[in-house]
Amino acid sequence: MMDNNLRVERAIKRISQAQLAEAIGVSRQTIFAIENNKFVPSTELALKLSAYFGKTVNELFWLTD
Amino acid sequence: MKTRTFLFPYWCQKTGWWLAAVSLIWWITIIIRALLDSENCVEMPDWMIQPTLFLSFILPSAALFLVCLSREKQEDEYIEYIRSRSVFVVAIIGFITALIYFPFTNIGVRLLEFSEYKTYMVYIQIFINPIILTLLYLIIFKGSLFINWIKSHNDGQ
Repeated sequence: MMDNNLRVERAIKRISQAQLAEAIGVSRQTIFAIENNKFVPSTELALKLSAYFGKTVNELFWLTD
Repeated sequence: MKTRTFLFPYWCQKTGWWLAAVSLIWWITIIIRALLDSENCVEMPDWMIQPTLFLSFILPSAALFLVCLSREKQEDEYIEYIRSRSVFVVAIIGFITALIYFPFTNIGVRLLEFSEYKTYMVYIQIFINPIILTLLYLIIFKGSLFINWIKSHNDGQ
């Protein structure tokens, strides 16, 4: 399983799901699905998200038991 | 985000929906006409018989083909994931239906001696029709997209 703190990072930056989706170039549903752990993003998308928040991929996504 | 899909562009889906609307109007016309005909015992006019094959079967099939095989407005990897999951669900339904249908096929009837149930064959056969399976795929795919849209909308910020 995988978890992430995308929602927290988004709250820190004070941006909505729609704004983040537009910045990354995906749909709002995709951001919602990632935040709720319904969808594991590809490496490309994970790298884009981490670059957007200025974090490493490991800081944004991590494995859980 | 660009994805590598072998799908038609989004405008094809729009065209498909327009064709579906025309087909729907045509089917409603046919049904109303049939109801009126059954009451008045009037034969279907020539202007209606000629384009029946095209409007009743080819046009809706083309519409379904275009809608199913076109990209979404914003096609990304999550949409692709939902698309592949929908195809998988339909494939499983088709496979199970085919298995259920097997005893009612000519081979199945001979092998399993289920001839007394042969009358149900037609009803089961409908569900392994490619058009019906494609329609089922469309319902599952668009339904999933809609549910996700509602959930993400309610999630708000």
